[in-house]
Amino acid sequence: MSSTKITLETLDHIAKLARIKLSDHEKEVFLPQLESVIEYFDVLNSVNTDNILPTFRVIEESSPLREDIVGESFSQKLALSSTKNTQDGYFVVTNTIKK
Amino acid sequence: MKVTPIIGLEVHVELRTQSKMFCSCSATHFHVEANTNTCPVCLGLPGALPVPNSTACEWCIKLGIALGCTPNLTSFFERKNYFYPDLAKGYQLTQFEKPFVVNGKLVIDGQEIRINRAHMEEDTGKSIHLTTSGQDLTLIDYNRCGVPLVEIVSEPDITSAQMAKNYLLKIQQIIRYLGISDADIEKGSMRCEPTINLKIETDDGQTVYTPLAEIKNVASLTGVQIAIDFELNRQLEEFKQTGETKSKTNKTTRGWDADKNQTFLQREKEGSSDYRYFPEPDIPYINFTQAEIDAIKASIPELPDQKIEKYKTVYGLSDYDAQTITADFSFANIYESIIIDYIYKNKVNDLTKIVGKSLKDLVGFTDSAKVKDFAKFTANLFLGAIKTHLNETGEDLDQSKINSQFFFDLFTAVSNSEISATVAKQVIIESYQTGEHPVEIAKSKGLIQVSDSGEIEKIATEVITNNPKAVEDYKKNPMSIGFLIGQLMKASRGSANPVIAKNILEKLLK
Amino acid sequence: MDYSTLSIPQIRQLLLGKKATATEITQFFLAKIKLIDPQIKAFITITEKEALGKAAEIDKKIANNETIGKLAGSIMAVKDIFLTKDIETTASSQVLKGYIPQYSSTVYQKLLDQDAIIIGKTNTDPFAFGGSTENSGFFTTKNPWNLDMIPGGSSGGSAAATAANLCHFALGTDTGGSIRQPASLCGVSGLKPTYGLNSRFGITAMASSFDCPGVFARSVDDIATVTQITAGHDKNDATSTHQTIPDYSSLLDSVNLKGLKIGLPKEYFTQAINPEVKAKVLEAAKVLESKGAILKEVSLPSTNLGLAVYYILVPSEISANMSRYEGIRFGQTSPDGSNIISYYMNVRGQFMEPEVKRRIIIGTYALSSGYYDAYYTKAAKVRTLIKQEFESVLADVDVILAPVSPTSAWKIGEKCSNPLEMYLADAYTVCINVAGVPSLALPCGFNSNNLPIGFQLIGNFFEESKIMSIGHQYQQITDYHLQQPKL
Repeated sequence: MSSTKITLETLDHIAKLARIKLSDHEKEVFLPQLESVIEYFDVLNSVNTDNILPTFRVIEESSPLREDIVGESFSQKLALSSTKNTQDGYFVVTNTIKK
Repeated sequence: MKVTPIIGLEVHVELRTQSKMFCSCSATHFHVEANTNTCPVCLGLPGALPVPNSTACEWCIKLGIALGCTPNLTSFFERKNYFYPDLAKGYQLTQFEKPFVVNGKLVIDGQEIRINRAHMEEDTGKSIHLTTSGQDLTLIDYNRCGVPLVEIVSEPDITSAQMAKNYLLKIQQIIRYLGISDADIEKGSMRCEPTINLKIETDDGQTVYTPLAEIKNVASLTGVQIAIDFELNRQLEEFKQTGETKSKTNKTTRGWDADKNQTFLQREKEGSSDYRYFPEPDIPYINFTQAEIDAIKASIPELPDQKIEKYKTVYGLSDYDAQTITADFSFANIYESIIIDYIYKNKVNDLTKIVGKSLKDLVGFTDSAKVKDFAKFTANLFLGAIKTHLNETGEDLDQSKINSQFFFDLFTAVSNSEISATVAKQVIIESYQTGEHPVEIAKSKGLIQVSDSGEIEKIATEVITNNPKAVEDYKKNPMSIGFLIGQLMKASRGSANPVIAKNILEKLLK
Repeated sequence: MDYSTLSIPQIRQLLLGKKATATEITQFFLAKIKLIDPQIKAFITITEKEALGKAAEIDKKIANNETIGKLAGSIMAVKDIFLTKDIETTASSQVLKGYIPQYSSTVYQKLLDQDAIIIGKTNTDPFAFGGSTENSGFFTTKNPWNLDMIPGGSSGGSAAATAANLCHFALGTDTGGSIRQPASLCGVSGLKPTYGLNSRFGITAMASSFDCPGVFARSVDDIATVTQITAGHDKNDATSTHQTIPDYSSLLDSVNLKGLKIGLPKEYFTQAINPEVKAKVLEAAKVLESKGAILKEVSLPSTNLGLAVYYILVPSEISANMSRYEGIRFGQTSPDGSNIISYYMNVRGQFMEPEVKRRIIIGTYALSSGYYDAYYTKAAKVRTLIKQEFESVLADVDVILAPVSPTSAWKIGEKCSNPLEMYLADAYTVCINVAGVPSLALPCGFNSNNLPIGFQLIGNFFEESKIMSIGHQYQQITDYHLQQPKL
């Protein structure tokens, strides 16, 4: 059967994709845990799903669309109220690289 | 060595809906104070959910149909996952597997350019990078975050920079005809990203392709043309040097430096190519019935190419005149409303304005030669006097100041030689400004054309007397009669019939 | 008077009859919480100011003979993943410590509008990721029946608060069992409604196509009263149902138990289930049989696949839903980082709890290029099979009866070092979320250690009134739901 062994390299790559820094200790602890979970997924390999359509939503009711009418927005003050990192009405991120 | 450019264009169009794509914040973000049009949804706050804008979806389909695309009766949104501060949720809602419309085409310079798809997505916020006290900062404004964008993707069927520019102009024109966006490249409501490479057939019979380059941040139409030409050249030179050919992994992203007029390699966005697309679970499938699609289709006005064809065939305008009038949607429609009124004049008692009649409804309807004469006459006034006036004043054409009957009467007067073409141009502008009948204006200013030989002969005699040198010149060279005609026209304040004037002068000078 | 043992309508009657004021009731609960909560630690935030403010409002309405809301005087505890405007909402994670939301969840607002009084925000696994409340970024909640035991999760705080009578009802969410399992482990009732019945707007999203906000209470009757208020279409949630909401309270006696066909899925009664749990659950079935119901063995063959489907699809959706937590517009932030990538990595790495990180990584992996078809698409296809099985069985029987948890509550710390073992404990609850159908968890007894055991009644889509009617009638005949822990 397929051996989905996760290497440290894979974990590093995924952690970067997910933008989460893992300490060496965390990587050590996570690796076997993740491996056991992912190996568990192999139970699906034996299921015949030819001609089965995937379900992405369990209830499909019609008309999820909204009329093009302007509603209320936050005031600038309210929009910025949950962080201290603001300047002149803008959100601020420091130490970014220029695009 | 034979080199063929291969160019594909990705165009993003900002729709001018009232509200944003997935929330009801105002979609206006120009000259608006930062972060004043935001809400939990477009700020990506915990627990916020997207609800799609029905008008935006309809306009995407409308645009798709206008580009010859086929609508998908069922489509859905997907999440495109990547991290950047101006992308509030950390994923962009877009369409991947099932966009609203697919498989269209445009014919540009005789070349068919296939359109792969047009889909809906949301815009990001705006980032401003600056350095303060040695620290790099990024200021973020989320007003633009969530504004609806339609992305139009062409196949790489474009074969020159000029063709690319014309493709963009045509798309821009169609979008403006539909009234769904300002499609202003400088303002950013229309953005273009060319993807370019070359097909090179070497002398020894091999065919190779250079690596793909996508060019971003070109902020003008001319810029697109220059950028493409630069890149085509750069790729050829690089190929000659390195011989590198296209592979799955060597596509690059290049920026455009408008000051230096060159493309430059952008820093690779690490790990950015794995977007982990998956269907958006917060928005159910979007279904349109065939009846709804038909209604959207019916709401599409006559598009530029159809109009141009009609103007040339039914109205008898030149290609140039047809192209020039149709460049602007409302200008063309106002012109056309007069012609339509003329055509229906004898059939309908109240002059109901019927704009945008299709070609097949007009052909053979009535005396087509007369229609052509009138259409040409009106076109001359529109392109000559009116357009000049609008350019001077910087205004748009005001439909309420246009009265079809005025044009009919003016046409009759000119046809009867009562008013010269020159005078017609003058009085139509004054009529536009004052609302008075142009023929009345001509009468009141004594500009009614004098066709009476007797009258003209009087003035001609005076002109001959007052211009002995010119008479002498004429005797030496009959072609120089123009000066005397001009003097006669001046003396008559433009009201003399120039043809009769010429004949009388010639007669007198024999 | 012990206001905490009264039902919601009874509390309202007290107010209308001027036998008590809302302020008195609120003060009673605040005092009780002060006394008891330090033992069980169900609450992260106790909203004394807001509670007394609301109570004063209600008392003023009564004094002016104005109409009071349908839930007036009832005390509610709110799982800390529901955004409550102006009240700190942490999702039990360091990521959101100190976050004061700028808006409220629709469900919460609906309840406020009917004059429910919020007494506090309850502890949960962080962002609801977990089945024991041990993953909380702040502290672990204890099971009121035995303080060494977990209360279940992720809505452990809400279940414990309800069990300890520190509120009349509590809000929770059920994505893979997070209402039903803690309800059963704490001996209270809990409803996971049909997906889409209650709006998800304003609740930190875990898995968008699985999350179901729902209610804990000591009786099905109270659950019906509250669900009546919360259910129904929300224009802010495109997945919320357009169905007309029936009058649940008036339908509590509507189902005739005589001849009711109850399916017992054999896959839920294998060796994996603890014998005492199995015995009590079957006993509950027998109770209904004694009233004329017909028990029938049914089969849900894809049950063993449910966990794999769940643990692929849920972390996948989690991984995208968690991307907005980067400390820029809200949440704790860290100034470190020499460039934008390391900024993100540091902030998320520093504040996210291990279980949060684990699930995001699993999900990112499952969606990443090369694995998407094998995992995500495959799981979505098997989801179709599982959903179809439930629909097919529920066309054959009227309701499905099953256990909720294979065991009763376990010791704090016993399973946390082995995530897979924790995930396996969800075996009986996840398939219901995979399918989207409703399920009502009810207490049905105790084991030899006096720990509660529960069972679930699973209905077809939008059959809440049916399962609540069966549950209500079960509670007329039994008294497990009236038992209280000694605290």
